[in-house]
Amino acid sequence: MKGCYVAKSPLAASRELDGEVFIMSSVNSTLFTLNDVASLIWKSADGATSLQEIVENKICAEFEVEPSTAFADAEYLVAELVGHGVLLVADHPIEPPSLFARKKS
Amino acid sequence: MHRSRGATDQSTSDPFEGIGFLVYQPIPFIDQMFAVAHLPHSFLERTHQMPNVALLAEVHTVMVEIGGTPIRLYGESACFLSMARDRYIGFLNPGSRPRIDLRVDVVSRPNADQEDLRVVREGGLWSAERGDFRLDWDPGSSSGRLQLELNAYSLDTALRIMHTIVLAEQWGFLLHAASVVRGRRAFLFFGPSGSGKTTVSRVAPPDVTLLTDEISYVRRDADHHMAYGTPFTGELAKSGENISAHIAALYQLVKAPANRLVPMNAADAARALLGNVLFFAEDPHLVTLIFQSVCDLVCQLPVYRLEFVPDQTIWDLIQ
Repeated sequence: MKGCYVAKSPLAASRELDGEVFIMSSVNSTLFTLNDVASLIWKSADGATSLQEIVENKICAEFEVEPSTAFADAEYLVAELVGHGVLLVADHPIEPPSLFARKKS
Repeated sequence: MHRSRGATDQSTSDPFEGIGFLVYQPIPFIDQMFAVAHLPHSFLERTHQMPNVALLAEVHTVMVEIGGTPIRLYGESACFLSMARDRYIGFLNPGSRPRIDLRVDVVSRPNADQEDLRVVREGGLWSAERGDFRLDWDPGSSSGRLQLELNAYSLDTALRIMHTIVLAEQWGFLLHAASVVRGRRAFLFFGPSGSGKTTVSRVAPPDVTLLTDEISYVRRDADHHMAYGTPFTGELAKSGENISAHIAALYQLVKAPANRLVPMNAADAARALLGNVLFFAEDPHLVTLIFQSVCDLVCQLPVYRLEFVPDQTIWDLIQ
């Protein structure tokens, strides 16, 4: 999963309240709240930045952690959020849904 | 977990304690509370009230206006229309232009096989069904058909479903909460069944006007969040007044040995409120709108945890 790209699903709504990130799955109304590190991954999930870059340039830069540990945790988070349909993952950059829709039309 | 003071200053970075997240399994968007068996009394056992004289000429039509959204019910069953007039006596407005036209047919067990409530949008058409009713509604033509048993609570449920859908598009929602007006401002008291909504309403002083003891109607109008009266009653079995007011504050009800008011931050308030929002439809767009509406509300209005002794002293804290 190191070279994979992650992006927020259009089926997820998110808000930051008091520094806490809330994500609502619009498919089944499941609510997620993220801690600081998970929030950093969520905010960085722009479809253009690889998970490896996020871990190395964001998480390891801000927190005292070994890259291998951070990456293992990040993989777990991504797998969970992908499983709930609020995060998208691909082995190539992911275009934002709105841009994709515009191109098609 | 503490964030470092600067990403470039490695000496100040904080220990990594893992990537954490909490999952709140589907926010209930309560629907089970509307099972007929949970409702306080049968409409048909109620004494008939004096009908609105203006409505006598419109035997086959009833215009029910809740939250400023008129829904016209029409059909051939005089019994049903009489029941509807009685049930929504404070919320009838025959002069309104209907937002939705609903033909009503009284049938026996229209959906015998559908025990659980199901609300879906397919091909632009809404349908809602449960054992005791079936609702089909086309938002495009603002018209629909309701088949139900001759039961006021089936009608209540169908109307609530329609209002949740209409409200979502208007930055509003129904909340499992009692609400009142005091000094021209609205106060909402939310919590699950048994949390004290009816108690708070029952012990309210004379200067308090009840909007509802069970289902609050919330909508953002221009720059303000408003609460509207509803006829949807809880144990108090008393319809709210058909008035509205700016919301001043919301309170999460928690029974305790002493009265205490604890301000909630926006994150805690959102978590608490989302668990009490009523929404029935499996519709990603509307779920997103309601989520954003609740987040907006907690950013703009004070929300408190209200620990209270179930007596009238609670009202000393509500000003």
